Amino acid sequence: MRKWLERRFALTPQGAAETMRAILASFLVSLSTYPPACLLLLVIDDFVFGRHRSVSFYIVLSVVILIVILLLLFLEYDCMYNATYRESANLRTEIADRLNKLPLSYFSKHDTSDLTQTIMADVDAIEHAMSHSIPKFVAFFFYFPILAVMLIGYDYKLGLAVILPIVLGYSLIALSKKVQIRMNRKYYLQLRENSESFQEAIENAQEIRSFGLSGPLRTKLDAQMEESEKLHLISEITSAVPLLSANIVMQLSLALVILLGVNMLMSGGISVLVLTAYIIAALKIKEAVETISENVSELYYLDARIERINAIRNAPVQAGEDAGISGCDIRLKDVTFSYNEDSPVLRGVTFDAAQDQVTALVGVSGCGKTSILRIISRLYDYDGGSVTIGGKDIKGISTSSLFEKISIVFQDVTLFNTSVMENIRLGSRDATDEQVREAARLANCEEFVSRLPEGYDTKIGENGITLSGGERQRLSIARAFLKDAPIIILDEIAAALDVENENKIQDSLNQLIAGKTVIIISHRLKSIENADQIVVISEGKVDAAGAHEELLGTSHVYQNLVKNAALAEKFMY
Amino acid sequence: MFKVYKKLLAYVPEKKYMISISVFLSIASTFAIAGAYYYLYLFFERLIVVGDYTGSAFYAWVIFSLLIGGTTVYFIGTLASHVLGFRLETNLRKRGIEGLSEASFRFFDLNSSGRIRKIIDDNASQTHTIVAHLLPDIANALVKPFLLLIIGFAVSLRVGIGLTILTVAAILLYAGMSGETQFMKRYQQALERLSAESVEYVRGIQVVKIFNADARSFKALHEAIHDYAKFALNYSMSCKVPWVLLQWAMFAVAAILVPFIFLLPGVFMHGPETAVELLMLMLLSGVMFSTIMKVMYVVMYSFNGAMAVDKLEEMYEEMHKDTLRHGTREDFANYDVEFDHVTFGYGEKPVLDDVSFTLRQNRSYALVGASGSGKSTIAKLISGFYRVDDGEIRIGGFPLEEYSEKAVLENIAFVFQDVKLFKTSLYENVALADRNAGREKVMEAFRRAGCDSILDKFKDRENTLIGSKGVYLSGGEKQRIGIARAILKDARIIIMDEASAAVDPENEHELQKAFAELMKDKTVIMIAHRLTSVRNVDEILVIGDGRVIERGSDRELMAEDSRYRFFQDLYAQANDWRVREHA
Repeated sequence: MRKWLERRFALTPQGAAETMRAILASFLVSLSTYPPACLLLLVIDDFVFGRHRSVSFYIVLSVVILIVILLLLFLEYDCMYNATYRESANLRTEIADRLNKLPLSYFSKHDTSDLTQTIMADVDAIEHAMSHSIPKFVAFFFYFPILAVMLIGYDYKLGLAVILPIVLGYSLIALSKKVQIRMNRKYYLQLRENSESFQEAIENAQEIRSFGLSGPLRTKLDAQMEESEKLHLISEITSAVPLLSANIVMQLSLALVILLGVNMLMSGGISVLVLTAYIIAALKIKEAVETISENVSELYYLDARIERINAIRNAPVQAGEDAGISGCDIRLKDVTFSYNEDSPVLRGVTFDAAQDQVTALVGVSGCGKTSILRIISRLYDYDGGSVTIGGKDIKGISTSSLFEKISIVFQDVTLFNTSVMENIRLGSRDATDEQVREAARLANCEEFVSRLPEGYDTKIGENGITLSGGERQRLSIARAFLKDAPIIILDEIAAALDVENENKIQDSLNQLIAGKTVIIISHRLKSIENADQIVVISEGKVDAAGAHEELLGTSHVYQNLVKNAALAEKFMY
Repeated sequence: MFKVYKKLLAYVPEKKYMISISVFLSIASTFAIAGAYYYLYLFFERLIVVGDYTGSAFYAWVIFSLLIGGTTVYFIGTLASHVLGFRLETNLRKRGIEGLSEASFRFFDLNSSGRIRKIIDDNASQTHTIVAHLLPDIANALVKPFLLLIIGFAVSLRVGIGLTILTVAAILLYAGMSGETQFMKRYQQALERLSAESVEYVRGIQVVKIFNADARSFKALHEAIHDYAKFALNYSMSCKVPWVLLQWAMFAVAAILVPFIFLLPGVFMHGPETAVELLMLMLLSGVMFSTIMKVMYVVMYSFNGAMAVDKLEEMYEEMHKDTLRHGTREDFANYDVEFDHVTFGYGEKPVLDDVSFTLRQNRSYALVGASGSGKSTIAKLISGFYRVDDGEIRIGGFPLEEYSEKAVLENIAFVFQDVKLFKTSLYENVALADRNAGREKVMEAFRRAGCDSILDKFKDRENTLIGSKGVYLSGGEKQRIGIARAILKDARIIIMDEASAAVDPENEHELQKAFAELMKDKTVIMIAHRLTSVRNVDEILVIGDGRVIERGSDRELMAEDSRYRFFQDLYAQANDWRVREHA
């Protein structure tokens, strides 16, 4: 039962256990709604059929019932809400922890806002279901059979009259769900198509307008919307028919009891009191069923969200142990890799990047050079071959051990909504303020930091929104200075900057890489001419490797690259 | 609540009658169901008080028919409201499409495509729910309590009064359930903080991992998570007493009433009557409570619906605010471009502030400046798809807005860096620039834009499909297709964002040649990135802080101690820089 709850509603073990307690409380509350009805029957028995009991008996019984129900309700409330909010905190923490263990490739494949949605909205929905639907829904399945057995046991005819329509109605609803899912598939496909058309229309809005295509496009989209409206209506009606039948069947419960009961009464099979009892039972069950139907629709709605949470839970984490790495030689041997199965990006890449040397990767766009950097830093894991650092296969090294040795500077910089000081200190948690300032100075940050209203203590807004692209990049270089890792990976770090900022970054770059093992990709071919080794990548393989002069003689690909770069440089409009 | 519906229904004037149908049927079904309860009373009276079993069988049939009839009618009412709701959803989306085709490009610059789509998609489908499902429920919920009270009084004055008291008590308890405002406020704040921390956490996770800095960034999120849970619990605990009491009254109503019965005078003399009254009061109050609970749900969902409409309308408003105006002028006297005290910005802060300059036709101009200087904005404004905040942009002596959309489209072409291709063939992607052009001319445009080498890559050449079912092109290749489009369009004024080497280095030279082809005999405004390539253009405008700070030919500007010369020097330095300079 606990396992089932965990699986079905994506709960943590503790949450499932507490939910079980809440279910028990709900179950008791549901049962406790019957004693008042019994009390009523006793009164009828007394007043109508003259089986008198003392007034104090009624009063004591009433008070006891009232107190018990009140206590149970308080208990249920406490169980439900305590469980709910403890669980929502646990679930969120668990998801956050889990996200932190996933390979970075996971984040390039999933949208940030979707993942945030899971932490926020999806857990919210589970939260709401836990405090409203789940305990009541599950409890219903325990107390309904008990009630059914009791009703059928006392008088099987009347009992079946109450129970059968409900069971039948529920079967119809379950059945209709299947029909609905089938009917909805077509509509969902249409919806997805709509979404895509919409996305294209918005993305290409500028093209559409500037080539005067708005008119025809609007006609097309409008027609598409009308088409999906029709489909929606059809799918709704097909699922409405079984639902209507289910509802009518469930109404039969009360009607059957009354009709059957009156007949039995006339033939003297039962007393008025028994009939009244069954009628009350039928009405109560009808009420309960109506509440449960609302809960059921909430739970159906929950499925997609539970799936998303489970997807995060079940995503494979990166293996690897914490281990010290000695030596910084990076060796790639026959490395193969693809983002999706049918199009290999790397088809057997072999090269060595020696310790304390600068290795540059060059090649046309799409040749696989960026993928190589991603693999070395375990942003993605390679498919075949081997990648070793200091003789150890990187797949056996935990990312935290790996990143002790590697600094990466990306084109895109992520900053946090805190002070400049703290943003740089991310590079090394134990660094003193003085060390942070020194790193900032080396990365040419001082000039702009001094212009900020509170200097190093200035808060830079969500994702550093108040800073320019060049300033952001300099902060990230300051982090790398502070981290002082022996291996540095640089991926097109100045590509999006203007000349002024590029200049400032170049100033500090040579200081940053002095005495380090460096792998670099740069869009300016000339800038890597002095690298100890240039590896030319072409169509997922190493075409040639060597120093600049050497490659000019041996590699056609490199010659072409250099020639094109020179032509572009000399070109004038 | 009614305001929301009024607002929503304004979008579906053609199906308004569906409201009346749906509301009428729902109310009819409410009468039927309430009628069933009244007949249940008559049934019990006959059974218990009169003891006439045969007569009660008749009532049983009536109850049966009313229940089934009521349920069916309710369903038909719901179908009517679904027809209405689906049409509403469709119309709201159509309204969104209309807005898209009218909004200025500023709107698209400020809002990501994904966000726009999500706002329209999500909110439109939410509004259908509040109409399709809630409209009948609301009609139902508004009528039912009164009918129940009427039945109560029809049973007897005592039952009527009892039911009224219980109803009022229930409503008061509901009112108490909104919780204490201070708890609510802190709960809201905690929720917002949690949301902000989650965004920052997920976005920063890559960096956090790379720097092994998990402990600290976790701390902030942890705190937010636990604070939220704490305040949410506090808030729900502040609702505990009224909620529990309400449930208590609902479940235990018989036990509450029984002790009071014995206080009634002559209770033992009218035993059977009193018993039926008690029974009815219990049944009616049960229905009453669940009706009131439904009202609460309805209010809550209407609130969500209201938020959905507000979000949609806010976006439509934003689109509308930026709608472009077009005039009727068809012909350009000449192609001189004139900025007259133009001010423009995306948000509060203007990017261009009171900019004035004139560009002569058939000459080439390069805009040079640091990123964020406003050079791209100037180029974009000339495209004719922006509304300036102040001042005027004139072409051929007349304001841009005075020309018809067609005239602007045909005479101005632009190729920016983010050229977008449609998911169709390469041929179609170029041919759309001039629907009257024959195959010859389209292929000529491909050739002149240097796209032959792109076509050579694919066996289907110009018929190759782009996108999810076809091939993907690199940034530089896309831009060359964009140039082919512009060549085919053959507009007099060309606005172009020169290839920056970062986009696609090996395609850079190809691109340069394609651009050169496009520029022939045109008025050209170019955003320059590679400063060596612009030395031959007729005039260079140096842009800084949203103003033109220098203009002149390369020779003129290089002769002075100009900002331009400073940029050229920096450029030469950056271009000559080497990794391991001192090695």
